Amino acid sequence: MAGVAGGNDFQWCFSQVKGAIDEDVAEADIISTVEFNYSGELLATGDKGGRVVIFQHEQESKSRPHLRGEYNVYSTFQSHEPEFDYLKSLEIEEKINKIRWLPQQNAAHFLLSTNDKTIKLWKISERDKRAEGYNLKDEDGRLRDPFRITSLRVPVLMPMDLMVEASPRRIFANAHTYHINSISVNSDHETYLSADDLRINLWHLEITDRSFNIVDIKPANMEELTEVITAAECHPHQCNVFVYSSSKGTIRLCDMRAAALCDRHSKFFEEPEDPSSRSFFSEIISSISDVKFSHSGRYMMTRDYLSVKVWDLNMENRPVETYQVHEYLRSKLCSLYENDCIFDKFECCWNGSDSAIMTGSYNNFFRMFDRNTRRDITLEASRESSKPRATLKPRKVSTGGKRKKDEISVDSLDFNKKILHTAWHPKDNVIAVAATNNLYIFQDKIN
Amino acid sequence: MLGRGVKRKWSCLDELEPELLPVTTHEKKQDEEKEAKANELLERQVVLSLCLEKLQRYQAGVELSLRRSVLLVNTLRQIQGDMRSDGAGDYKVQPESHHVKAEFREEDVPVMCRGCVDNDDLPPPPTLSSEFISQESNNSSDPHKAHKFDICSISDAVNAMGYLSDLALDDIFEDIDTSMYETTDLSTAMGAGSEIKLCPPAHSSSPGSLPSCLMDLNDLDHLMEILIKLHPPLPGSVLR
Repeated sequence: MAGVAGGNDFQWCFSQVKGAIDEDVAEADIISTVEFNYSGELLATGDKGGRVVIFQHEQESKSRPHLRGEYNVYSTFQSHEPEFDYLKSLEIEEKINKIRWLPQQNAAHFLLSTNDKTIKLWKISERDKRAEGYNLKDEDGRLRDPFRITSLRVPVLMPMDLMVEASPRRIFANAHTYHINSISVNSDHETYLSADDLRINLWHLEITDRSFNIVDIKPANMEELTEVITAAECHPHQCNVFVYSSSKGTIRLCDMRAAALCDRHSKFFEEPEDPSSRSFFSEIISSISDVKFSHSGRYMMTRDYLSVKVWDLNMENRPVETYQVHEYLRSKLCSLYENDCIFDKFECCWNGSDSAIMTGSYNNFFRMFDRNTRRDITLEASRESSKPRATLKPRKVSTGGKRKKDEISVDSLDFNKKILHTAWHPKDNVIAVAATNNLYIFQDKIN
Repeated sequence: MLGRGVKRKWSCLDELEPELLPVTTHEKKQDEEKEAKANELLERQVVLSLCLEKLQRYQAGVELSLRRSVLLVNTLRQIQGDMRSDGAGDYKVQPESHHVKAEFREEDVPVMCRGCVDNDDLPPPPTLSSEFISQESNNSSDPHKAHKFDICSISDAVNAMGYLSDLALDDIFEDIDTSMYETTDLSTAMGAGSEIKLCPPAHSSSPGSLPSCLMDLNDLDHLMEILIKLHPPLPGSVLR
């Protein structure tokens, strides 16, 4: 797979945009998570209104071989509803915090979706036939008296229009006191973990009435609390290994074989702080907002406010690669703190071959970094360039000095337009970028 | 810890600098180092005020994110550490720092107090803190806190704000095991039902340690106005 930037590599071009064009966006329509399934055939989004929308990749048509096929709506369902916590007098939002697909094992697809408190296992299945010819019910639908049924009739399957059904199969509730920030399906395909601000639980996918608490960092006295869990993920191949990141910018790797309660980590990843860049905001900007293992399982990537770091699991004292996402914001931290942007939780993702990474920024910009060539590129998700196959023009933010043509100054960036969630197709160069209520799909340009 | 006398490079600070000068010029001439120090203190004050403002907002039940409040409280603690390390001798020399410090001491309770900011003709900056003191001693619902003008009290403030909005409940049910909030089993919680019924439906009405005026967001806005008047072009506007 080629790199991310221009030059001899391919270019990114617009493929599709989903969602309304309206200027005033309904809060419920804001996309809060994006996730491809393992094959890349399905793409799921969750929104603040508790809905899950699944798009399906349609096979490319023979007549238009240059188009790699589009993603069209496959199924939409209400995953979570708003609730009220009567003990705490607090609303529980319906917002979908995370979606994770399970590896496909039969014709149906399964996914986990979670809001702040409750995780649900959904089955998405197709039905294009229905059984007809039962004689157990009257015409008005009432069950007939068994004594009045005198003959045996075998129902027959009749074809019907394709129907995609989403049904809740398991509901994993009441295990999290704080807000769930991560769910991750284990490589054993039987268990998964869920993490909130202070605890991580391990579940069996079939069992809803119990879970094992594997990490608990809640101090006996909450006044002593100085650190929270911000993200957690299972290792892609070793089902006993998981990592979790913290608000202090550290990552702990735990081995579930060591003890039932993994409150002692096996590895501790931390980069020493550069004293020259110390400021009041040092801790806030070093808080990790996302952690993702590479597909190979050799590396992991963490996102903090200003940078993305790639860590080799064999080296704990510093990351092997550090990429600046929007270093020009370092001089704006005071304002970003004031308007709360500094607390935004940007996510990050790997491409299928682990050779490139992607993460979001402000002004609907998103960034890609090629790990081999060390090249990076800034692209924009905007409707202006949303003509089919239109090539995305690289964007540049002027960093001090004179602003060149085609550059945008830091002061004119729109901080309300932020790209927090992106996903990279597991095999192809197809990416999904969530920009507020719109989902953009881009792909590489085939020459 | 921040390096003493190190010139900060934030652009927001650069923007604030000219506004700072009139305040400082009425003092005798200051050398570069003192100015840098003043800048740092000013910035610290801005960060501190925003910190408290944000914590109050969460306290009012608008939004509850443990991550945010932990980060804010840690920032607050860092500033507290800075102030401790500044030492007492510092602000005898520097009236500004004294002012900052005096104001800071009051931050724990009265910053959001209605009385402090109801005044329509806003007091000039240096008297703002004394205003706080007088209002505080008159209005405080907790007199012994009002007299404890110790810098340590910031941690009390932090603790009073707490990470959870249900901390206000703790005052009512001090002796009740709060683990009932944690339990996953509703029936267990119901066992303690008689107490739970006492729970106020909203935090604004809870007679906890926080004066009810703390909940008033208008007061916060008002307070922010004062702060903004002190340091006019807060750089946030640039980003909007």
